[in-house]
Amino acid sequence: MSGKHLSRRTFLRGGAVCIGLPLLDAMLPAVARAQASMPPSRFIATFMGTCTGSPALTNPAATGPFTAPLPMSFTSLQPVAQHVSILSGMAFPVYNTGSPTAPASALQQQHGGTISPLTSGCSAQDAVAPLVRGHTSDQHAADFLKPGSKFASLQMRVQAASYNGRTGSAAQGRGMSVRKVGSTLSELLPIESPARLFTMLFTGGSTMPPPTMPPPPGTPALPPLRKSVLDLVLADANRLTGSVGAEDRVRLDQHFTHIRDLERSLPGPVAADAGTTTGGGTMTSGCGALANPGVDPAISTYGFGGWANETQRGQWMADAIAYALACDLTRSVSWMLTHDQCWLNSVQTSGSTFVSPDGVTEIHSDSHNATADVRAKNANWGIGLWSRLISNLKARTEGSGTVLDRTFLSFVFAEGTNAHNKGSMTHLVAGYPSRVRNGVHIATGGLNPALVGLTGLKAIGMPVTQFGEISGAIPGLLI
Amino acid sequence: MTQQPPAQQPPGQPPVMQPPVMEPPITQPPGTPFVPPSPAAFQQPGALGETGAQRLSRRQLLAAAENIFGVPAGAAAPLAPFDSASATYFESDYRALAFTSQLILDYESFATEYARAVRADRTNFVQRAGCTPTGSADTACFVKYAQGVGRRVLRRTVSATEAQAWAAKLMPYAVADSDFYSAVEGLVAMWLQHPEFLYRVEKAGAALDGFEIATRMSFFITGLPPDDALLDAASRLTDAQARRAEAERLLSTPAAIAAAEHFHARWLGFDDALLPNALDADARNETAKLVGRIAADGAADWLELFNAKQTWVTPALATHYGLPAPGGSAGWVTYPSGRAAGVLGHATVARLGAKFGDTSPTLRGYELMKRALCGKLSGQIPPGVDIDTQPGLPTDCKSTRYYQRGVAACATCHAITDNIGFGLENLGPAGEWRTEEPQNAACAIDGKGEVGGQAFTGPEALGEVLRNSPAVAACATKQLFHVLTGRLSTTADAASLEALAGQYWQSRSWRALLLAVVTSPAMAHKGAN
Repeated sequence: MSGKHLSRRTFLRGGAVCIGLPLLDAMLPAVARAQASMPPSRFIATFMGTCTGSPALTNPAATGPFTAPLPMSFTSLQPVAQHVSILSGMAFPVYNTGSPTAPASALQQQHGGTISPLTSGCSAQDAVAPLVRGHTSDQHAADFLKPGSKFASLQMRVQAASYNGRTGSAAQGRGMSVRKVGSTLSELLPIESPARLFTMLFTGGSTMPPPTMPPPPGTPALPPLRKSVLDLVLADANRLTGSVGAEDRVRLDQHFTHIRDLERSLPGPVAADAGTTTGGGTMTSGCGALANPGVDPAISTYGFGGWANETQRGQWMADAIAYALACDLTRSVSWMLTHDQCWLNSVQTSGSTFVSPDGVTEIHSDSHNATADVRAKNANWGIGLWSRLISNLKARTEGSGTVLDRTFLSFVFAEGTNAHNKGSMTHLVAGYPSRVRNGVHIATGGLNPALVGLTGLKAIGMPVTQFGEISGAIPGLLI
Repeated sequence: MTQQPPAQQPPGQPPVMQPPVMEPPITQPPGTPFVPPSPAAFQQPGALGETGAQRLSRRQLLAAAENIFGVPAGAAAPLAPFDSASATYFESDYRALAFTSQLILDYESFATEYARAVRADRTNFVQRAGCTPTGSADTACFVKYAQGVGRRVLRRTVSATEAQAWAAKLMPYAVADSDFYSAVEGLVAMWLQHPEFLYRVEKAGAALDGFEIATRMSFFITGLPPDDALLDAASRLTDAQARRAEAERLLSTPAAIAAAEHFHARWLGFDDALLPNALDADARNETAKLVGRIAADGAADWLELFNAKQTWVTPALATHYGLPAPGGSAGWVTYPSGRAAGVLGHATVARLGAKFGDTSPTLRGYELMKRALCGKLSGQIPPGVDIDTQPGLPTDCKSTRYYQRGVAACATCHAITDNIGFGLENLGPAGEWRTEEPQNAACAIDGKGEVGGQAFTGPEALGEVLRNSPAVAACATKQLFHVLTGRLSTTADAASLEALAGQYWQSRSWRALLLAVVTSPAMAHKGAN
């Protein structure tokens, strides 16, 4: 292969928007291949479905390097301030019902309507339903970073239920990650249960033990039963896909492809599950340790103002994400702290006292009715979880540096200073100091917040100039 | 901040909402006799249009495992994957399936945990296998179990060759562990991850085979995979009369009643609704009892759902509603005059209108229009309208607070939704009967509403309209079509949908309608794919 590479821009000639395209090896810069021995790059997209407070509470007084304690909405970041940058004054173009007038627009009437441009760079098309309309940044990152990791991407959410009066599967609500293949959008619903995540992360979805008896002398060792089970499923693939119609064949092929990927990721004949052991409620391996979260905290109510100890859930997830990245279980994570409209109990998150017409105290109502300092405290609750994640990544060493050195993190809020505000938004980035300026405040002068996702993709080395409907850069952020 | 009425329509802002279009109409024009559509088009083999491999919903997956293996899902249930997003009200929509590595891991997690539970229940194994393993290497017993139970899992014949191939792969684990059930665990784990279990796979070609017909019939009527009797009858199911005989049997099972209850819970939207804890079980049982009675009675009108004269209550629920107490711990009671509104008066359905600690006539009317009438408002909620903020002033009566019917820019839609909702205002957020507004006792509730141009007063009168509405019949049968095909209907299905509604009008019976569908040629025909 030559040292020249085919640029994605060339490949994208014609400017297709909101379509995910395969990243071919030929598109990779030669330098990227040469760096294969370095620790992998990672990407974490974080979202919180509320506002941030007034500009005075979110934006440092001066631009450039931080010279004073961080403002009220972000005080929890103080211990890791040198690894974080604040991007103020971001703004979505807005349009009324009809055709979008600008790339990555938000509907003027917004109820969850910014989540699509924020996470996929594609304009919102529904005022109420938080439909993400394109391949999201974490999925672009997953496609780019996938080789070597166990999970192409992980999606998780801290808020245990929507807390809007819905139970069961409806309480799960929508997520923030979507894959778009052709014209088909596939949502990747986040997992909100720490217990379920723990099982999935550390047993690969299976707790089936290997054979307990050693094979007789001279007998070949058996593969793990789990592998044989998948082999048997795959043995029927050709017969089955060959027997159905064209569209069903496409569906079954997709299903079998993922089984095949899982089967290939398993070890061959081994006598024990090397490298990972359980004991004392803590999972340990060569890349660190993670406590077993135990039983999920109970949900107090599915109604407005519900609570399921999201602080505890979020803290464990912050630990789990760091573990998963350090152990190269995945390289791309989307972390939804709350639903797109967040009815989480704000007495618990920030000690709010504003009582909504439904007689409860929760973040969504605060965003409409409470004072700016309450809104700032609610934002800072989520920021606290993010701060813990940054600290965790910093604490995990690899090579001569830390995991944070090779991880790009973004934190985007659904709204600006208050409910429905899209013209004065403040978002944050962190990590990857060799490519991203850390410890600074950048006043963006009204740039589209979708650029945060595009910046992150560039930071991890993806040769990309277009993200959904958006292109461009945040001046002074990338090194 | 409360929402105030705009002084006037903002300049340059034309109304963006359009009235819903419902075909057929909600009510017949006065003096115009209703002519039911012909059911003939549903007798065409291709009446179901395009069909594809439906994936078992999470609910179906768990129920199928328990039904086949006889072991409660228990600890494995939380590991089962969530359903993909669906464009229908139902959990299965083959056109909207997500395929991800996470999904495959979830299937594996569930299969592994459940297989462990099956392994532990040896009595169950012996019962289902028809043999007791003589030792860890008893391949004959393994093969017998694999063929017998495998037929139910994969919904087709399992050949001896296939079962022996499974044995060749898995019995070494039994030998290595000195435990026959290690191989059984592997077999069950494999089955539960097998696409022929997870999907309702139908081979290419127009004519379905007997097992495929059995699968369609069984999931349609009971929500479960076919039982042994239906699989035994598979070779005869290309014949409509054989299908009728089996369908009659299935319709008499508790599973068929449970499936009917689930259908209505999804269609009418209360499956996931939050009810007050003290009422939750009683209220859900109330609606289940009514649906069950209508589903089981071949002579009952399906749409009596909306104006049933009796309801099943516990003493606590009766007190909540202000109804006479039943005899014993629960029973049927007859509504007082003006109250017989079927599910409209149930807490389950009344709850759909709960908002702001009370009811929202807008929300309640919208939900009913959307679900019972399949109505849809075009356009978006206009700029500046915050649906999360209570309208008007709390001290005003609701007819003043919900002012939008009187504002030109809003009236197009609010005249439809609010007029339905105000007619149900006698029902509180959990169906409790009231005659004045809870937040302002000086405001009497008159229960006056309008639907499809027809005025009514109170839930009973609205229920009567809905029961006899061509639009409701068309909407209800459309939902049945969605369940049957596992997809949203399109304009290409218009003739079939009209004919299916026509089939309903033939007898008005849920049971008769299901039998007509099952015996139609379309049940044995696969559409283009």
